[in-house]
Amino acid sequence: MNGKTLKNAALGGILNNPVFVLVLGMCPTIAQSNNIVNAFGLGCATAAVLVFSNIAISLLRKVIPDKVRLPAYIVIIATFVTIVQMVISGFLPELYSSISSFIPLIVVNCIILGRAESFASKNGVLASAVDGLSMGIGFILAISLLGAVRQGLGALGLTLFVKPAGGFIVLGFVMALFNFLMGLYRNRRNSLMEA
Amino acid sequence: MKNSAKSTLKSVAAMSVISVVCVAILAFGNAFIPKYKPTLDLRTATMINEMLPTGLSSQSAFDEGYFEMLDLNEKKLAAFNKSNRAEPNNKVLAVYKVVKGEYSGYIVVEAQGQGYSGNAPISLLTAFDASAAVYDVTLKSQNENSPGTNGIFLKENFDRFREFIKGKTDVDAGSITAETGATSVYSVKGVANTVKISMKMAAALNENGGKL
Amino acid sequence: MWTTIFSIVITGIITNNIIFSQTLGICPFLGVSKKLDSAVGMGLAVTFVIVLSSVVCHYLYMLLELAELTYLQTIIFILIIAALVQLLDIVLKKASPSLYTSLGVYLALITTNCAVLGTANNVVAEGYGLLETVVAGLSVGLGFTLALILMAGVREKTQRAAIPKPFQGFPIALIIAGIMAMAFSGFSGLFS
Repeated sequence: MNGKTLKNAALGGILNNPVFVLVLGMCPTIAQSNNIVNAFGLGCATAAVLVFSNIAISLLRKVIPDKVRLPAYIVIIATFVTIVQMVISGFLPELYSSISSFIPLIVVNCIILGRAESFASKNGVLASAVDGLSMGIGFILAISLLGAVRQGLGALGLTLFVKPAGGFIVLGFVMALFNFLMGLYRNRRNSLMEA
Repeated sequence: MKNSAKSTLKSVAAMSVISVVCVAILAFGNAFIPKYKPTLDLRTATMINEMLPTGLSSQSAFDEGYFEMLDLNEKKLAAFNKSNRAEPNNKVLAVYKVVKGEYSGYIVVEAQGQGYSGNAPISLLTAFDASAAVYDVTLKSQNENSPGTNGIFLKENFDRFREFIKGKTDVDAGSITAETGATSVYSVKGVANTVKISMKMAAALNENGGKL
Repeated sequence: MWTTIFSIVITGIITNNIIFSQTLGICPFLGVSKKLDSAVGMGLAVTFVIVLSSVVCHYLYMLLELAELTYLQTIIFILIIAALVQLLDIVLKKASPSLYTSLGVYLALITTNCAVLGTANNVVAEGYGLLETVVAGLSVGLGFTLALILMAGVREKTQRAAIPKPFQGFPIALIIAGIMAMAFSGFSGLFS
């Protein structure tokens, strides 16, 4: 495990943010970000599955034959999703009632399968865990930010933003803002390197 | 030929082992992760005490066992919910009974129904008298984020609703809207569905001697 | 019964459109809606998978309920979907190679399309019978295809517009989708 991989993995959640840069996991991001509690709850559930499945898949990466890669990942991810579902429905029933239809959809959240395929299947357990945690936190931050913006705008009386249409629009604008800020950051870094 | 047969065998073996292990983990989780069961807590007892006053403080009423939670068979409750619900989140969660005092014999049904989608379901406590007609309704929880300016949970609208529903054994969203003038269409639908399934539960219990 | 069927159709295509109301299936929606013909092909492929998977999952769920193994729902449903997409892959390769190549990597990604698993879970939760399941699946698929076609139409035209750099690509597509969703939400009182 070299330090560079770890460092890149740790920063991946921000620089390579799954929602704003990789444009993955769109469905729960738009659907459940109309309420900050739901957004945070679903974000944490997704992050938990991401970390555990990254670890499991990284542990098994040398054992899973290439031909059945995808079905194997799916079974492993589905197992963790079901466990998370059991835990939330048992201990947090009110949160569960709000997000219950989106918890099973975590299994098809492109972020998890994407990281399994592109990172966990090729790197060690520690790096995969860090990557999972970083991407998971990046996702939680993204969806909670959207949740805060949408709920705030809704509380101001602009009810469009708590509806699905508003979700698309807010995500579009926040993504553009993120691109803009990233562009500034990169320009600044480039000009510092040239100087 | 031999190589590809060997690799197919390896794939099948790997998939089988992984599947068996995963199903085992899930079976283990299913057996040991506790499932949520509603209980008669002080908060619920306070709400029941407000609808059906025992004359004591809620804490005393709670401590002295004025209210009891009916022990409904899980499977029968699930079957009842499945055949009587208006939508997947519409269900009866628990039934409580007043066992002492002036309102002894009255039951309170805790049920929920979906309002605007994407929010937690609306949860109501409906009190029924001995003939399974509505005595009163209390809001246990709601998280509607599209209440509008004239929603059903506005105090005046909800109070008008409670007046209207007293003594009834059936209800529909249209009559609630007409009676209260509330404009939050989906919230009204959620409230109507919740009270309706509560009424059906009260009727079923009444016909069956207090059991399902 | 026919009123239920009719309301499922209207709900699936217009008032509860899988993209504009339920916001499921966004990833392929953003990815494939740049050109009109690939949009139609994708829509048909997804409709095929949704209908088949909903029917199979409907029956499997009945078995799971009997065996009291409903906690296996997620794992079984997604394996069925993965298998059906594999089947579609084989069928398309032989039956329509042009569609196969135009879909490219998005064919395999149908497995991770939230609309497919979401619809299978929905028809089970609502307790639909066989006919209603098929109708619901077809309606959701049609709604998805309709959304893709509308989006492709608009995006083909905006490709020549001068868009500020931070908005290029996905942000502007999302904003367009949002405006369309606003239009669709106008239908929400229809036949409720």
